[in-house]
Amino acid sequence: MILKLRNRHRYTWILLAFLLPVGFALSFANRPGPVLPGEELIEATPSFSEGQAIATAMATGWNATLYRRADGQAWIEAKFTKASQRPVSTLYLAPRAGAAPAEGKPIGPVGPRGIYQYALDSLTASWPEYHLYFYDHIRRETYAETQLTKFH
Amino acid sequence: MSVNYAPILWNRQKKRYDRIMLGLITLYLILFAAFQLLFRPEISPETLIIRATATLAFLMLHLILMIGPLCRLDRRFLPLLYNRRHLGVTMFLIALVHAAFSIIQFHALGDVNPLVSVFTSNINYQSISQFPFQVLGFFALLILFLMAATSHDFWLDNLSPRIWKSLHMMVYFAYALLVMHVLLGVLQQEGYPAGFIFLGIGMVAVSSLHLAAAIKGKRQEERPEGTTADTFVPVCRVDEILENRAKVVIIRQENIAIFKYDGKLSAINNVCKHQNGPLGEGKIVDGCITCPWHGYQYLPENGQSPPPFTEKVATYDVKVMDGKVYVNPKPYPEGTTRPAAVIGV
Repeated sequence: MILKLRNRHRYTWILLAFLLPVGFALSFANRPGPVLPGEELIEATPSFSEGQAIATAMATGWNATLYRRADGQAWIEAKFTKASQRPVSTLYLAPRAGAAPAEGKPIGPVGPRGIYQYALDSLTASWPEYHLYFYDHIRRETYAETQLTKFH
Repeated sequence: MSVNYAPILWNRQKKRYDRIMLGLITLYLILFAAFQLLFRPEISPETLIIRATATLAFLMLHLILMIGPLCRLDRRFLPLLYNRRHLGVTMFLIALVHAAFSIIQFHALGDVNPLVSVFTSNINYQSISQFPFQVLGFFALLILFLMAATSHDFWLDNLSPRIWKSLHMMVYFAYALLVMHVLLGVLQQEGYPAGFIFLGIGMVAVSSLHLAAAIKGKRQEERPEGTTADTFVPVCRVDEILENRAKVVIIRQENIAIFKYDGKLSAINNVCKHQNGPLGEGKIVDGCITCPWHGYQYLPENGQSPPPFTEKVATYDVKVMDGKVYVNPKPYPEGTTRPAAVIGV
């Protein structure tokens, strides 16, 4: 390498050796905490059966039904008939319309086409209303919302 | 070396290099897919492709950037340098797949042109956590495209080695953009601690190797002083130069390699005409000074490539007195025959 380029190469790396750690430190200091503090996502739990349908919702590409079994165990069964266009998104449940993500209860990741069952704890299952939200973690926005209509 | 242009010059070493490269790429993609499907069975095929190609291209870029300094620090890594351009072009193609799937996945379903959407869907430039990181990846890909498109020797000859090398040194800027693309992108959105650790290790490895090679190069740049422009300058003792190897000195901005061979010494310019490789770090093979980077060859007495090749470098007068080597830093026109200094006479 000619001397001029070799010197340019040397100064470039001295500069990068300073700038890259600064960028790293800024990014690390601003890294996100848990999506919803103190909450862990409930894993999709398959194999629930013989429950009574309590409420349901239908939309283009998916539908969801809330079931409760005789022993009190409740779960939401969601069927996605189209693949999600949001690769990193979460389904969460809230007791009212227009709730912020932090007010809701995350129930599981939105996956590709298929049927998913998400277990609910007894407290969540006893809410007077059920509103389902889809939250996009990349764009940080709720992109779909619907109310589960109770059966009478 | 070649006297004609060919789309790709294949030889046994390059075929072997490419077979190993493609084998390792295939192995990585299989292992990555298996790992993802095992621990994230819900992952969609599009997301799997985006992540597999992203991690593979970024890993390859780290390896590519480490090859140069590794070769300067230890000659045993030189075989990796020989076909680095194929590695670079392959890395660009893998990065292109990542970019294409990402743009389709995140930008192709709206009513805005997907490329326009890359620049307009997020304009939070004042935010670190929500910085429009895709723009950084776009410009890095543009640089990698320019490098891949001009990687052939046709462009090297027509742009001149100096401009070509300057253009290809933009890979360091592309690397910085891609580091920030990852730091402000996936690591901000998902915050994997392991991601920060892996990226930190990669950054430290690449930076420290380049700095170590730069320090070693600086130390090797011996700059003996002469009295006037035309006099001989003492360089070293004869026995300090190994047989078929060179001593490199910089005298009045002349980068000179003094080779010892067959009981003689000859001095030529240290910069290879192909890609400005360091001839003085090569050795004499079959009577020819052989560039350590890509094997370009020159005769020691006249700095000319053996026929039918036409490359030429400048030559210098060299002499030996009382076991000491002296060189005159005034260059002769490229390809000028100068008598070798006979050791012991």
